[in-house]
Amino acid sequence: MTDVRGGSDPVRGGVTQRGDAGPGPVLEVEGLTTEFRRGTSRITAVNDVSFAVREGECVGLVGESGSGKSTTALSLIDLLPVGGRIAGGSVRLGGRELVAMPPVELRKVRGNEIGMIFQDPMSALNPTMPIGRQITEPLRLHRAVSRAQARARALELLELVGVPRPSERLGAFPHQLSGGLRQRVMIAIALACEPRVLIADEPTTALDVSIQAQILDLLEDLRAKLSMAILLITHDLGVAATRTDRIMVMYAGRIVERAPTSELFAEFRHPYAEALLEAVPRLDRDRGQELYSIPGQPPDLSMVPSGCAFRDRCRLARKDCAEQVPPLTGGSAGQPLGSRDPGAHQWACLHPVSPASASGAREPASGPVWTAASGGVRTPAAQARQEEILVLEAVSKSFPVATGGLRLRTSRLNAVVDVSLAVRRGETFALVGESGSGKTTLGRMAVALENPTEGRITWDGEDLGELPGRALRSRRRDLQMIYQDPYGSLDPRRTVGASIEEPLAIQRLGSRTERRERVRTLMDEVGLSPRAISAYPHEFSGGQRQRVGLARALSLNPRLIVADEPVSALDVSVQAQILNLMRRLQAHHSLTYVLISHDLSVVRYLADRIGVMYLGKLVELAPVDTLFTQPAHPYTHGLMQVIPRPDTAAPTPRAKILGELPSPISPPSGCRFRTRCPLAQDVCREVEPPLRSFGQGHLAACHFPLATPAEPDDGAGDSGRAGERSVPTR
Amino acid sequence: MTGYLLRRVVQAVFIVIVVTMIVFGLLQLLPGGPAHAVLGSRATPAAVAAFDKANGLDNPVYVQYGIWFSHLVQGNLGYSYNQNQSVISLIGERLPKTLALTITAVILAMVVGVTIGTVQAIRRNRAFDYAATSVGFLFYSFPPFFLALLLIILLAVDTHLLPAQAPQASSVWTVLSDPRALILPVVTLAVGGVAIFSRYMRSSVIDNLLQDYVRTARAKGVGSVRLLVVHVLRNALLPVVTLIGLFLPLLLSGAVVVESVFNYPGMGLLFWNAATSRDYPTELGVTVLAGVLTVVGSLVADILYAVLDPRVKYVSR
Repeated sequence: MTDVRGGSDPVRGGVTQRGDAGPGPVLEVEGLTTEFRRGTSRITAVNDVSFAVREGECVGLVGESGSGKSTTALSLIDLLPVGGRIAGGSVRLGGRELVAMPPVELRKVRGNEIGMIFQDPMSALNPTMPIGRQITEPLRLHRAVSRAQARARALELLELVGVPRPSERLGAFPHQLSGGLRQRVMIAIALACEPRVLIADEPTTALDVSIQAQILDLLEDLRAKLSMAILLITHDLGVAATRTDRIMVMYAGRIVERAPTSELFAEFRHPYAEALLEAVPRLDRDRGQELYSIPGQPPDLSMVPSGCAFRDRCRLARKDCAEQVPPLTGGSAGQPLGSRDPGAHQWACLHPVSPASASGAREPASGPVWTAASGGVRTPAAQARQEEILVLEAVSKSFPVATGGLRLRTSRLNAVVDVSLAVRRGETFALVGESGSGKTTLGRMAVALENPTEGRITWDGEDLGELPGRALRSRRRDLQMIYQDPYGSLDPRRTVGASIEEPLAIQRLGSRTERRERVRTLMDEVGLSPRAISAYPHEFSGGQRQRVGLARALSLNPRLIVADEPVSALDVSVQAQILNLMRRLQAHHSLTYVLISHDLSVVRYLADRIGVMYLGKLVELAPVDTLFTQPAHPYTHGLMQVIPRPDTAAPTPRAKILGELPSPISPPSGCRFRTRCPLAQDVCREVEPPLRSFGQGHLAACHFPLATPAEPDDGAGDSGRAGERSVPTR
Repeated sequence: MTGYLLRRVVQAVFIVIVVTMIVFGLLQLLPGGPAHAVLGSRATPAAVAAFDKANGLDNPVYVQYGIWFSHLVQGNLGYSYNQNQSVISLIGERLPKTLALTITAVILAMVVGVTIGTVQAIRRNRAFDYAATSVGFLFYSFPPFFLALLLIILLAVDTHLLPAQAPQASSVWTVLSDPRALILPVVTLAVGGVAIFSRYMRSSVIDNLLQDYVRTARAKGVGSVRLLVVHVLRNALLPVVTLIGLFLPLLLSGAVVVESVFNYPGMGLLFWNAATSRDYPTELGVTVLAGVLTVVGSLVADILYAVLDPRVKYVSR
């Protein structure tokens, strides 16, 4: 194909309407309604949704799972899964109607004028097609370009989205790239034809925070560079607060509130939107306050309550809320439903939060909504007095991996390297770090599910590695674990009662009736109806399943619970319920928690002390307040900087940690973080920094720390080995 | 890739050696024995002992196996007293014909099965899907000899559309020169495969159509034909390809029946005759070869899988 007419660039030739209009709406959605068939009934996933997106604007669509935000996005270019159909409304792109457009015509819009990126970069790319071909595909479909031109454009795109060494990557397959790189490839595909609108459906949810910031930066840069409109779909109010111009909040298929971002965060009017914000653990909030949690679950769309769908869970609900669906109105002029004035602040509520009470409500401990934490926050001095109950001494764990052409050579993947720390009785010790940092492996070793390859773990004075099988089994009563995935960690063919009872049966505790009684008590304690004892896991929601997991872990009256990402699979409103429950249970049963999480806001809410891990190493350890106010390690600092804060006043977090996580099979020499560190010097390549003390209970391993070491010699003498214990604890 | 291949070949050789041991051991357990087969059932014990001594059959089993195996490695599979021919030359004559039959049947089953399965997946839960499923199960549950006879009655005896007997020529080339006569044996062999392949292909395509990458492709503006051919087919074929390896032994045993019904002078008929006339060296030779072919079949399937799926090369143990 050599029909390059008059020297014009065929790659960019497609969109001609570009630039003739001012900042008018590119995308106009009016009364969009989408239905799914489920058996004989119909459920309305998107209900009468209207909005507009202007050129160059980034609009956030925020909501929990099942709120209809993804379905709204898929409806725009009719990518609905089988059983879904657009039941009404209109979608106009630059004035052209897309709903009921013939499929052949609509295909010319998809990937050409509207690009889309999806949540999970692991599964969204074709696993058996080289990424070069996946990027050139939309060009070959929508533009008359030759193979060579398409290839050149693909290189240009990979460069644009920040993939290093693009020419080497064209022939690579998706599985050869990391998650972050895959998401960049996904963006390159979506941008190939320079669309006017980019729909980003949870583009960073599956990524680590450091990579999340990089991807969001990239989207923002590209939006400015290409003056395209972005519809950013996210469950994360923090992401929406700092990256969007306007926000729409969805609940049960409807938009319940929308406003320019700064206006919205200044005053939330819909009780749901307000509650959603309150349920997020915040970095600027007193940790002693229990999180506000929305009672109940997001509604099942097949049985949405009459009237306002939120009324069952609403603290301001009154009788008339059941009578009619509140229209989207508001703003100074009180525009009617369907107004497409993008600048208006509108809400769909009969009894909105009044601006005054809203600001008042967000002060700590106002009214009966927030109850004081029953656990309370221990003072550092009180913590230090507690005895060390779980002690890790120079613990390492490596796994064999086959490498080399014949797969006959084995290398070691060093998941955890030389970590020494001690967990005190009754505290919450958090392990944070990106995926691949070794935090889960360390947690599994703490409950003797893995044995360390080197080093020693003692629990209450006993070496867990030395215990004979029988003694270890009875010791397991003390050590329990709850898991991230509430769906995968319960046997689907076993009633939840049986799952909770199993540990008791294994340990031969009590008679059958006694055990059943105990199960009922436990279920009641974690907030499940004991009548659900013979229900199966699929009958429960994610949050309820996590409660089952907690009950199961509690059944043996353990003293230590390792919680591996306990809330990361849950919706914000449910997350707050579980976090509060975990706190209450800790106080009630004097539990010691080891909390594993990538989410620093969650960690801050629950933890007393925090260990930061990077590529198997413990790089910093400090009491929670110290860590958040004076981080010493540049990695910790970088992680703090990129936490999306649900606050428009906060500066937009630009990525502070560069590049991707190196391979744990061949980690960088010297300091492992040096390849991504903005402060790295030559010495970092040669000498591995030991853990040094930065004051009471604060350790960090860095040559160029961001804080001043307490005493230069303290803790450095034994290069971090058991260094944490050598720190004076009083 | 080469490393992966090498590893699989080493595994395959090991499996073949184990197969020869098992087959050799099993034949020892059969009543009668070669002496009686050659000398007749009324042979005197003295004559039998003399025969055994002359042929080394009085040695312990592992010594016999050692001798037999060392001959095998040199390409000597023994001598068929019944046919007065070395086993290797018997096999050499007949193997190509059986291969011609089975390979054609595999290709036919694959092409038809994959096509039907794909169409079923696209038209899921519609008339064609249900019809294909029922007909598939019907044919799958037909014993091959019954199906063969049915086909012969319908298409050869009653209507004279096709010959009832397979081509009888001695060389594979002349066999192939009469494709009409091959149709019925090939179809009989392939029918079971069509049912299996279509079943697997149907569920594989349905699985793949639900994958996120399909949505990505649609979001690019890919049309339904291109989506199927360029994106889904390769991914959906991955699990189906491994079936070829599993299908091959089934074909070989099917060949025994089909070749006897159609009187086709291939390995199956050779085995059938050897078994009925207690021709031990030939039985042993054919069985070992069938074992080798089965192992090679699954090896080929794994290699195909590796070629189709770029991820396989990087799988760690």
